[in-house]
Amino acid sequence: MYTIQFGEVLKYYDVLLKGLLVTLELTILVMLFGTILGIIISFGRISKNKLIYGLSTGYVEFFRNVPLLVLLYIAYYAPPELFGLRLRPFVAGVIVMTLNSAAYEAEIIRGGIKGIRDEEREAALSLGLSKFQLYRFIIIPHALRLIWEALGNQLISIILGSCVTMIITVGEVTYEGLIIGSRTARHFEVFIILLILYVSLSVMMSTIFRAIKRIFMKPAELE
Amino acid sequence: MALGSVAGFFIGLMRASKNKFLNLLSLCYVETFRNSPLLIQLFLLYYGLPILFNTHIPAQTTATIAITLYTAGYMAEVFKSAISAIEKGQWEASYSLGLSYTHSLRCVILPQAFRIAIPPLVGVFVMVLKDSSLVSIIGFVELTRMAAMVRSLTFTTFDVFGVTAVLYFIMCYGFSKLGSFLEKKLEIAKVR
Repeated sequence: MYTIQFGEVLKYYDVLLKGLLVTLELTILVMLFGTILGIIISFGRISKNKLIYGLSTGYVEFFRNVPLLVLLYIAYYAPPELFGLRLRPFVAGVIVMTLNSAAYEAEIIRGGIKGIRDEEREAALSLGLSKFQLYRFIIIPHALRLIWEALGNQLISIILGSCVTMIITVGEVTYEGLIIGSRTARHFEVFIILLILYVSLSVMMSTIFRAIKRIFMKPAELE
Repeated sequence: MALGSVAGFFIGLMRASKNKFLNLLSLCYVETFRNSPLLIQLFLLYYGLPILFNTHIPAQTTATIAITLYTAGYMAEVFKSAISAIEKGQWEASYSLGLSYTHSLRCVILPQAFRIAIPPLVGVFVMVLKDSSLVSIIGFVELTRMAAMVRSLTFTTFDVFGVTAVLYFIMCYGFSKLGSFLEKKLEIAKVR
């Protein structure tokens, strides 16, 4: 009869912590680079230039319709065979997840920019604001308010997606968990702990995002 | 996935109901399955449970169960939002006609909610289609697994997985296009 023993697994809490750090590192890097790349691509998506529009649309559609796992396999196993370039697993993971995430971010940002009515743009320009000022004071704050929840969801997506990178031996928390599981043969406890961990992380992130929205993003009050 | 949709439908109903107990129960279910990675759920079912009960569940069954539960979580949210999106006037009208809660739900609200639910339903479907590639990790032989097996025979990763990527792309993109076609046909955006 199998007895549930969490103590056995919690002994290895330092290993889990190490993995958690890697997970967080991965998440932050991907969110950072993904957003930057996403901004660039979103400009491509709203451009009137047919070539730029086509390229960015192709990019977005590709990375939104191909599974992360397949991309990871390609990024990690293909370069050594093709050009003899071996990436470190973590680097490969960051690159793939950034490219993937940027596609979603581009759509989110594009939605935010499109969501601003033209009248606001025209009003700002007629008041004599320069293009740069227009972006800094009108478009960016407004768009940010519109897309805040979607950005939060994207971050949670990245956290959950980081779990898959364990397949190319990125040492994040799931990977470490598997190792602990194999060593102690207590897979059930390990995965329950991991489950609780991920759910807590996600819920925490959602709460933080909602709190920031409540505190910093109150709509302007009319006199 | 079909099972998951059906299950998700009922869980979504639970979420939309006024019954506090059902609501809370389904809330826990939904939040657990939506906020954790599918991979963890898969591992839990495939490695964790068999150890607990000293049995072995074949990969195929585990994969099916895991995907069903996962899909149901998202479907529940979709159905709940769709039901909530129907304006209160509809409820009030059906009550004033003497219809019970269940009756009005079934005959008045749900048909309307269904139309609204189709775009997000397509989105969830595509998402699950992509995430289904993860079941290859527990050995269930599907597209990604096949690709990995072919690759280990031929060692041409880029070609094999490149083709796989294209196949997934065609499936997902095609299905999304089908979804937008359906949207246009049913004129969902005009439902107001």
